[in-house]
Parts: sequence; structure tokens; C-alpha cells
Amino acid sequence: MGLLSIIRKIKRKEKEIRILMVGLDNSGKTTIVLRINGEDTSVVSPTLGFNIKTIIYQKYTLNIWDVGGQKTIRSYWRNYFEQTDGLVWVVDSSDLRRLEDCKAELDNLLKEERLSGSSLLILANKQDIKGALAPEEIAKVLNLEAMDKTRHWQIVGCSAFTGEGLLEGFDWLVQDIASRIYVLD
Amino acid sequence: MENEEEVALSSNPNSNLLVADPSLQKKRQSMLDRLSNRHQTRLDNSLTHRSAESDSSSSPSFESTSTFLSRFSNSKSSIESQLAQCQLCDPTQVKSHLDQISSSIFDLEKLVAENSYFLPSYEVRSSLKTTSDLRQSLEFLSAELLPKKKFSFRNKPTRKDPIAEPKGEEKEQEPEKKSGFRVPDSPGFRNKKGEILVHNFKGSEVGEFSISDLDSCEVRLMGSVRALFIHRLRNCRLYTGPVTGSVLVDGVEGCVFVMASHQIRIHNAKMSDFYLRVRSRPIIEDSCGVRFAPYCLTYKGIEEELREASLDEETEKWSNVDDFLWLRAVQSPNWSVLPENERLGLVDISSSIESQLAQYQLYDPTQVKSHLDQFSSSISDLEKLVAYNSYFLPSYEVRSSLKTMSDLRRSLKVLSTELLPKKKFSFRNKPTRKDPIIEPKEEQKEQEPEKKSGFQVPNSPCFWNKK
Ligand SMILES: Nc1nc2c(ncn2[C@@H]2O[C@H](COP(=O)(O)OP(=O)(O)OP(=O)(O)O)[C@@H](O)[C@H]2O)c(=O)[nH]1
Ligand SMILES: [Mg+2]
Repeated sequence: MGLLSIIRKIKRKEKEIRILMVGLDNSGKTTIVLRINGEDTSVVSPTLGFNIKTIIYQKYTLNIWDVGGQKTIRSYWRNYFEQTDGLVWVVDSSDLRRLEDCKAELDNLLKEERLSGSSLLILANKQDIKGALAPEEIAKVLNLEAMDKTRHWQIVGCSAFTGEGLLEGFDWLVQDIASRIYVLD
Repeated sequence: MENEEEVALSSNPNSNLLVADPSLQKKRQSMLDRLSNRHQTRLDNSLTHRSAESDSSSSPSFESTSTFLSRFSNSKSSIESQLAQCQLCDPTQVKSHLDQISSSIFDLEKLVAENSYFLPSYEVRSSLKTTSDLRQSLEFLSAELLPKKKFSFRNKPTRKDPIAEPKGEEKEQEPEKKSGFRVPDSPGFRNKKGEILVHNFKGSEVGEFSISDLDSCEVRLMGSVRALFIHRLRNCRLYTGPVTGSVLVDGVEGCVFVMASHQIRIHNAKMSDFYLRVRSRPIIEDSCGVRFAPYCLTYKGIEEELREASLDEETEKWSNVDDFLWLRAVQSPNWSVLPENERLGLVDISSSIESQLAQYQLYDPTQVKSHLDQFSSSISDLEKLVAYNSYFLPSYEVRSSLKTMSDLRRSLKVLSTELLPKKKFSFRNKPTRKDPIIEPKEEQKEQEPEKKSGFQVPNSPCFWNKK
């Protein structure tokens, strides 16, 4: 394959960004994906396996894998780590009791070598609920400052209910991935 | 398409500059390498074993379960035989062989993912399990055949730091640095025994509510709330108005729930009844002996609250339960539909007679009999009242009064069988039970033999803590 044809091929593919959404069950992953995609969010069942959504976002094609977070399903997350450009960790900021579980699962995930190159967006979801912790508080509970220094990460408060914060979060993620991979763009 | 790209590429204002500037040129080269690498990996992964399809980015979706299944089982057996052959192959080729198997498995996973939207849920679960088992076999095999070096699935083209330190042991024992931030308690009811707990959300700002560590309590929640968390209840009854987000139930036993919500997730529930109105499918995990029936609650103003929460319609979803641990087409043994003749009638948490009825459950056991008798005679009075007035009442009023009374009678009967000893045992909640302590879930789950009451609770088949 000549260099030019490689470049062409790459050009076609390069705008494709693969994003893996994970987090505890009930954190709002599916609702977030539906909201970003402008779909109806009034009937959402707990995710039994996964949903895959292809969304055109600015000039990129986001390939979003929304994987179920119920305990039974978590052991399958690892099957989807390959080739992940961006990792979105969704937190239910109103589920105070399970924040420790949430931290433990995230810590586990970040040990995963296959994910070490991906940018990490933490969405502190359900900010519309009174009593939800603010993103700064979530950051403290999850001890994000202690994360590996090489990791690109960002935490953003959001609500899949109102849509607030979602664009901000995905903008950061896409830009970060793009600037890591497509430095010339 | 290709032309367009070429134009785009050459019209990039930077491309001329690049040629001139050596450092930029270097950068450019490294980007190309990175992209090509990443691209190649993707191709490898998605194409290795799908020669027929020319488009690498999407595997086909069949929308037919049988087509999917036959394809799935073909790939599965092919992977299994590859795994078997691995043992015999030339040691120098082992690595590439294993890589190939890994991408076949990846393909299979993708196949499941892309078809999961139309597959029956148990098929999704069992396919997930299969692919995960295959991965595990592959990992075992790799560990065996590629000694010393930990098997890595493939190169990590997008990785930032090329000389990453090996992650491993030192990562494990990283001390849990306390962040110094104390998570506050959310509003709710906790640590109570034998009480009736009432809360009305009306007028308050919508938020979340937690109910935890209750024993033999009755909880009545009126008004609507956004999220409800329920943790560790025993022998309780819980009635709620509309929840506009989700209810999360974890660790309950011998309870009755009457709830309306957009989503309901039930974990670690034993021997409990759920009367639900729900917009999506309720799910259970690590649960057994749970039964489901339609919502049956009323109080003043509930109709309007349900309507505002879009929960006024009966969706029949209450009977459409997903057991996340059940992988077969036949009905999960962990849950069932509550037989109609055992269901509660309409529960009115604003009416005094009902609340009296509820309170009987919390009374001193030695007084139960006389209370029940008293209750029975007040129902008789009510029946008389209806009978005497029926000659002038509209017929539907007569019918509905008759129904109300027969519901009350039935509740009384159920209560009597439950509360008065020696009668036939019903394995619903055992409200007079004494032990006040709710142990932490973890321990309790392991070693709690059903011997408290002297009754042998029939063992229903269960699946617990499977991996
Ligand atoms: N109030 C509020 N509720 C939300 C928000 N996001 C999600 N929810 C609710 O939270 C519940 C769970 O949302 P899902 O999207 O199903 O959660 P999930 O993370 O996909 O769960 P799994 O598929 O089991 O992993 C639903 O009832 C949503 O309506 C939010 O921002 N605010
Ligand atoms: Mg989901």
C-alpha cells in the first residue's frame, strides 16, 4: 500500500472516535447518550448488555459504547477496552451511599493497561437533584487528584434530565482526544 | 469520497509549511505513524475473520434471532477449535495464533453488541457469558503458552507515554488516602424498629430520599420525589407515590413494596412482594422468592401526582421482569407473578381504617387476637352500614363498597393467618418476629439459615453471586 493511499484511508477513518461509557448501574449512562442524541428519554430500561450509538459530533464520528453497569454485567466491561480513545465514567451524584463502590470500580478500571492511553471524562450526573454532591465534592470523594499524572482527565457536573453540562463534557473529551491523535487538525 | 479527502488534505494550509519546517515534519510523520498504527489495529480486529464483508466498520445486523444464533454458534465452535489447536502449534507461531484468536473473539463480541438491541434478553446474557468464557480460556492459554511475559493483547498505539512504567504490585498496595471529605447523609428514614414513618414530599423541592436499616416498620411516602434509595429493610411495608427517576432496592427481606416509578432496580431481595407501576422493565439481581403484582395504592391527590409524573397509565411492565442472573428462555425461578387471590386490595394510606389495619402488624403479639376480633367486628359494622343503605345508593356505589369490604375482609384474613400462630404458615413477611438487629448485609447473606421462626421456609431455587 502506497503512502498516499494509506493517508487516504486514514483520512476516512481518522474522524472516528471510539468512546466507552461505564459507571455503576443507575448512574444515567443510557439516558445521557439518548439525551446527546436528541432521543426520547422517558422510557429507559436498565441496560442488559450494551447500546452502541454512532453520533456525528462536530467533524467527528463518535462511536459510543454504552455498557450496562449492573453488577452482573460489570465483569464484561473488560471485553470492550480494546481501542478505546475516550473513557466516560458516569457518577450518580445523588447516590451517596454507593460512592465508595463507585470509587473502587473506577480505581479498578484505571489499573487496566489497555485503557491507559485513553482520555477520561468523569460526568458527575444528576446535578438537578437536590442533595446531589457538586462535581468538586465528587472529585474529592473519588480522590481524582491522586490519579496517574500521565492521564488526561476532566470532571464535569451535568444532568441528563436537563441536558446541562453534557456538551461541555463531550467538547472537552473530543478536543482532548483530537489533540492527542490528530495534532495537525 | 476519496477525492474529497484528497482535496481536503492538499488544501490544508499547513501542508506546505510542513514540508519546510523540519520539526513540524517530524511531528507530522509521527502523527501518520500513530494513525496508521491505530487504523491497522482496527482493521485487524474487525476483519481478520470476516472475509466476506468488505466494509470493515460495521458488521451486519440480522434482526433475526435464529440467524444470529447460528452465526454465533459457528464462530464459537471455530474459536474453540482454534483454542484447541493452539496447544499443538509451532511454538514460534503461538503468539500470532493467540492474537488471531483474540481478534476472532473481539469480532464475536462485536456481533453480540450490534445485534443485542433485538435479541431476547436471556440470549444477550448467555452470549455475553459465552464470549467472556472464551476470553478467559484464551487468557489461561496465553499464560500457559507464553510464559514469563504477561500476555498483552496488542500494541497500544494511542498511548501517550512510550516508556510507561510497569503497572502491577506497587499499584495494588497504594494506600487509600482519605480525602478528608465527609459524605453527608441524605434525607430519609434510618435505623428504626416497629414504627410507622410518614413523609409527604408535597411542596418540598424535588430531591432524593433514602430509607435504610428498618425492621418491622411501615413507611408511607406521599407526593413525588426524584430518586429513592432503599437499603436493608426487614419485615417492612413501604408505600410510595410517584418516583420520577428510579428506585434502587438493595438487601431486603420479608417486605411488601407498593411503588410507582420510572425505573425499578432490585438487588439482594428475598421473600418479598412488589406491587409496581413502572415505565420500564423492573430488574432483579441476586434475588429470590420475589413476587410481582400491579400497583395498588391510593391516597388523597394521588391521581394528579401520578399524572404529572407520567405514571397514570398501567403499562403492565410490572410483570415483565428481567432477572440479570438468568440465562435461559424458561421463566426465572427467582421471581413470579403474585397469584391474584393472594394480592392486597387497594391500599389507602390516607384512610384511618387501613392505617389501623397496618398498625396491627406492629402490636404486642399477646394482644393480637383481641385486636383482630375487634377489627373483624368493625368490618361487620361497615357491612351492615352498606346493607342498610343500599336501597337508595347508585348501584356502582354498592358494588364498590362491597368490593372495599371484601378487600378488608381479605386483608384481615391474611393478617390473621400471619399473626396467629399454629395457622398455616405463609412465607410472606413475619411481622411479629423479635430480633431487632439488622446485621450488615455481607455477613447476613452468607450464613443466615432460615431457622428464626421455627418454620421451615421452603427453599426456592436461587442463583447467587455468580461470576
Ligand atoms: N433526576 C435525574 N435522573 C436521572 C438523570 N440521569 C438519569 N436519571 C435517571 O436515573 C435512572 C437510571 O438511568 P439509566 O440511564 O438507565 O442508567 P444507566 O447508567 O444506563 O444504568 P445501567 O444501564 O444499569 O448501567 C433513570 O431512571 C433515569 O431517568 C439526571 O441527570 N437527573
Ligand atoms: Mg444503561
